[in-house]
Amino acid sequence: MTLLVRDERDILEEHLAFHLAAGVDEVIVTDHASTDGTEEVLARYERQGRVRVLRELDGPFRQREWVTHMARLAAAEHGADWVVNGDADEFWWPRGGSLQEVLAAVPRRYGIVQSLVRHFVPVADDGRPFQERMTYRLRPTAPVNDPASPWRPYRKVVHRASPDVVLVEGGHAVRSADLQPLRGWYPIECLHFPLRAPSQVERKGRAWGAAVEKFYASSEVPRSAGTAYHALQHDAAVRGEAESYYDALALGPDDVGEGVAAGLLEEDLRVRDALRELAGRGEGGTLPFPRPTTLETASFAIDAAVLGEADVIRTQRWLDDLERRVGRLERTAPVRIERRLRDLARKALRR
Amino acid sequence: MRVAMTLVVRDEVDLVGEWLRYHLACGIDQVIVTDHRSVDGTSELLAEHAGDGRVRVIREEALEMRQAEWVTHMARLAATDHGADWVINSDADEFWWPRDGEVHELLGAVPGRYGVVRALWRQFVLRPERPEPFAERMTLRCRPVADFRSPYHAQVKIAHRALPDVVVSEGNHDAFGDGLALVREWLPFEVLHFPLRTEAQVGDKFLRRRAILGGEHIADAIRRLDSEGLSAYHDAVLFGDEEVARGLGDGTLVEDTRLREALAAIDDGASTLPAWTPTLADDVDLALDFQLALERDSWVNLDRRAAALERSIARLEGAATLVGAGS
Repeated sequence: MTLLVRDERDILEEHLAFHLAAGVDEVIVTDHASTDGTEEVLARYERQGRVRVLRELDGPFRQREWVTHMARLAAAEHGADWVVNGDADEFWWPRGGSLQEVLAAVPRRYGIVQSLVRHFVPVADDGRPFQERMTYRLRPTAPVNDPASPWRPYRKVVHRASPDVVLVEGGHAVRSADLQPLRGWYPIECLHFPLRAPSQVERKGRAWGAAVEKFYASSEVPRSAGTAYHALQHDAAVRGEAESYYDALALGPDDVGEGVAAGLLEEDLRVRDALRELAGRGEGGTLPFPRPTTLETASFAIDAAVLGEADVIRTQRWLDDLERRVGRLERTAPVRIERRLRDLARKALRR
Repeated sequence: MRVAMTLVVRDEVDLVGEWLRYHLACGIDQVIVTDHRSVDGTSELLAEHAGDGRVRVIREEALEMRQAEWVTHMARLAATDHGADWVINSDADEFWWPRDGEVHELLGAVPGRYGVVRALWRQFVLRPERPEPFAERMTLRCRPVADFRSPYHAQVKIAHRALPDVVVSEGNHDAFGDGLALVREWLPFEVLHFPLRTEAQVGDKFLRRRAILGGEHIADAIRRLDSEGLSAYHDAVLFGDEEVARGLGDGTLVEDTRLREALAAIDDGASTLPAWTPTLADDVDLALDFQLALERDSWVNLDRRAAALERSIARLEGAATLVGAGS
């Protein structure tokens, strides 16, 4: 598993303990200038031997480059067969077996499996750990394509380890000529806890948001649509309004009741219970992952259907954006020169 | 909740009895059958169930087969006359196998805003004729074929919410009507499909459909029957023992005895299907068969095109950087 973190103290320990018990053999972490205690958690796990830490200084947030680097390291130096590119707020939940078991079931000629991201909604911060409070999951009812919504449906991917893989921003896709996606099957859910407390929004929004802004200021890469919500979070933190930003999104007990009654929220205690089990047990061991029930599978299928509807619209937008980029690139001088050089080389070879 | 099934049948006495026993044991509340000019005993077999309130038979004497029209009519009857909530439109050679749950449970789990779920054909291949019934001797499945001309091509079928004005497409691959949004990537049912069973049945099946605008596989079969003759066509689509040994060896054929076992249990007096829980390996096996059908979804093509563009952008950007660094 690869992990890119910045100031994730409230969730990192749980994240590492969970995945090491869910079938992950090794975690490669890039720590982007954390200052909130994340460094100490990482150092402790590093000493235990299953976590390797790469440290980046405070600077532009070069996500694509770092994640691609880690994914390649997994193949080149750690003998990995599969790579999960995670974020600290994601719990990758295998359906009906450990991560190793579900991935081992994938036939050789397929190299990418898709994972559906399922969002847990924020609730008031009463001082308890996030997993004890955040026990309701959003049931999407319609494709949300608003880039500023934290609740857009999306997928991430898990891929076979390959020394020349390229990750797309956010780990939502992999570009590799030799990895074929296995579609229509989601053996792993990605349980997502993006907004956990005002203090987390404040900390993360400020430092990480600033690094993201630095990245776009220093790069040609166009801002992807999915970052609008991160930008809002950053703005709120910079203006000192993290608290009101969080409160506006957090659900109270009445909201939760209404949401459940309307079928928009579903209680989901899996992460809470898994973390309780791990906490009670001390070191080591593995977590059980029973096969989901019919109702769970149906509910999951509906999330996938909503995502499918969103996909069509989003892919169309993405295509428009890519067409513009290709057009721009093809008009730039170096490409024309490169093309002329290639033509010349081809002619020379033919002689 | 009530689930109805519709069936158009013509001279399929070799499996229509099994079809009824099986689906009634699945818990189907109402079966509506259009019997199209059967003369082989199918009509008599259907008549044996006349006392069973769950089976309604409509006799159709039209010369030509008007499948979509009849199925649409039956699907509407399911809504208006039989109080059905969901309708499964089937052929006699299709056995709808619920995955990991009971039929009502699976369909009941679909939220109101969705109205169509898919089922995937699992293709059982033609084997040499022996006296046993089809389900006893046809226990091998092949991977579906992309080429539509093959009798074993990849295809999805659908179940839909009952609507008094639904329209079902030719071949039962789509249903249209208010609120019939599709759950695209979930397969609550597999359709165990036995399209070709004996040489005589193969001949009848395609010759009978000569007059209709069927799928490409029907047109192709008819063309080959005309040019090569029945026994040459039969031999071409038959899986002989050598082919079977090879297929089982390289994984292109899979042994699947689920229907045989279910029918045996029903014949032993079971009133419901034996419990079956898919394993991870079963899930992957189904996902593999699903790939070709998914390829036809428009967004997969969009996604492919986007991936190709991203690769060319990476190449163009790489070229720009290289030349930029060199100059």
